[in-house]
Amino acid sequence: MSTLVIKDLKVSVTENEEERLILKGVNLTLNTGETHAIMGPNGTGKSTLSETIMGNPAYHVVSGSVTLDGEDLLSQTVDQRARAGLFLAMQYPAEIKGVTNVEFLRAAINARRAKDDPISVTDFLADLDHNLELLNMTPEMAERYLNEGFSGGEKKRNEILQLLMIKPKFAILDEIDSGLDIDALQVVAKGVNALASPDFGTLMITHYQRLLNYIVPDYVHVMMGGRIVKTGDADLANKLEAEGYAGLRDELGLNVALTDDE
Amino acid sequence: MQTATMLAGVQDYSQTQTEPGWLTKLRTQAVADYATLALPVFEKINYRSWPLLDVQAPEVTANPGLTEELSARGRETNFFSVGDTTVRVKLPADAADQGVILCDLRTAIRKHGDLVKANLFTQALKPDADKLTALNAALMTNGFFLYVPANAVVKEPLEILQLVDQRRPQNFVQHNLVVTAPNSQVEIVQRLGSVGTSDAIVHMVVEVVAGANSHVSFAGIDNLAANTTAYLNRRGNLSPDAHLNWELAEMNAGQVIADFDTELRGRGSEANVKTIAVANQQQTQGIDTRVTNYGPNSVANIVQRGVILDAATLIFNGIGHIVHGAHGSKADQENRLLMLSSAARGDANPILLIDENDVEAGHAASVGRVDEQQMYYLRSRGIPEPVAQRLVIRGFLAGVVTELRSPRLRKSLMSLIERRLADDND
Repeated sequence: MSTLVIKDLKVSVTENEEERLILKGVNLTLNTGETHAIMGPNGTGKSTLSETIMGNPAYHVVSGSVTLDGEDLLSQTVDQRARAGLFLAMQYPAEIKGVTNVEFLRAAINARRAKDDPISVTDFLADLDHNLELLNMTPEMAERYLNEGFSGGEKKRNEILQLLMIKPKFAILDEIDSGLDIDALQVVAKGVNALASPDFGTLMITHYQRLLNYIVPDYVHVMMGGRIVKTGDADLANKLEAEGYAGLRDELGLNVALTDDE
Repeated sequence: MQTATMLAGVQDYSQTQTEPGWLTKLRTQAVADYATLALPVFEKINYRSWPLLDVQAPEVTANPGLTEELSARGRETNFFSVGDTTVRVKLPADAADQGVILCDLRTAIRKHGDLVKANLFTQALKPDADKLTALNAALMTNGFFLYVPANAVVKEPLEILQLVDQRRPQNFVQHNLVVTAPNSQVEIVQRLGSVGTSDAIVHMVVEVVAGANSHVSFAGIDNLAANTTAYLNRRGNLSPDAHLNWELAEMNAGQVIADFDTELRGRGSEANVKTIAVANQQQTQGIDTRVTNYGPNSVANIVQRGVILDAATLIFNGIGHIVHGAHGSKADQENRLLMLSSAARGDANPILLIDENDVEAGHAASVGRVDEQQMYYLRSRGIPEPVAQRLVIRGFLAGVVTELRSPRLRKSLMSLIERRLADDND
């Protein structure tokens, strides 16, 4: 079992040449074998958390720690963190012309292997075919340039394809449900659920409860004002769906502005 | 070199080669022009201190000293030369049957004098264009000559390999001539490289004289060694409905100025010029690419992409010129540079000169750094920074010169690019 521990994490971003504190002390522990969901209103720092864990240079850690099995992640580069076992399915994946999906996947897989022991073409292709089929993707998509000209839904599927091929310890899915219709959502969920195992943990970030019907979480965390303010089981998501974030805020007596209040 | 010394040397050489009178005359005039003409201007490149003019009058060279390894490099080629010595000429049977001629320039002057006389320095390039062109006319020694007769269609790409013999200090002044008669079709791959690492001064001209409705693809892969100072000049002259596609890869390690000019003389003629370049370490590569529309309804496309590492300089000047009378013609160009170091210097200058009204012209240019979003994305999948950078660069160059038809050449170009990009990590 692996454990990802986030301790009192404070993170700022630069806006108009001024530092603005977004995360104000986040605590979270994830074990492999578990599925976590972070829900919360817009602008509350959910994406900041996922990007900070991955190492996006736009986010500045003020204090706190992120460790994977006791190893500090914050001092590691983005690619080191990925090789340590993290995977971030991004909201806005980059497009890279001239590099095919297949080449990219092989480079990513071989980055985890010894230089003199690249993955065999047969093993790679067998796994690729299997995963393409699981995600209702055509083999032609694998030959296309990385995300270039992909629709929103195709990009999300492609993120999950990478997840399935790379097989990390922890996957952070940042709004993997945004812009997906129900059919596509089910396919994406099928992909994530296929990875379920005692050696794999998921952290989903979403606005909506709907995703959680397809990928059922063990824990639901609600984030507001840069902190996790409540943790519960899958029922918490249902309650939120019924009462909204404002209801929970008032119940907890929090002084947090919700974007839609303004 | 003094004009008198040069003239004596040139005439002596011409006589030794038993060249025809018209050629000796052309050379003699070129010596006079050389003395008075100015150096060509390359915007934003100062090459006046380069030793380009320190060239001696040609001498008949001795045996090239072919080693087994050296011979092997030319094994699969249709034309292979080391210095001035032609090592191998082998035309595919299908091409030979159709009357295609491939030989070195010296042989062509002897055996196909009329064809050479009608096309050498007459159409694509005039010997008095500038000082460097005049120097080439005066001092050129050899090169390849390709003639494709009317209606001939050469199926396989013809591969030319020319090595500058830098196992000792070297002058290399060569002239290559391609003549395609009406309705013919041919694909040429010219690779220019070095053997050895001594100093060399290289003057290399290619003229492509494309007859009416002939279709010519010309790939040039230039890979000269570090101690080379080079002037590369490739010229095209197009008759009506002729098509000329240039695909040029400037992978040289030394100092280079290059002039790639195409004249769309005929109505409905079309030229596509695609250039990629990688500049690294301390070198300067300056590339002028010009297409001039003379003929009505002629079409010009220029796409250039360059990558600059270390403290290198790479300049792309793209010139689209539509002259008066070229009604309904098009000139489009795109010049992009990617800078990988803060000490790199680069410039992408699109220049449009339009002297006609009913035409279409456009340009785009950019000088930028590696896209941070792309880098972050690749690295977030565990790909280390140098590999990620290589992938982003490959994407940047993709589709420009990587479409060579021969898989073997495509692969060799890709690995050449990778080597050039890795040079700074050595």
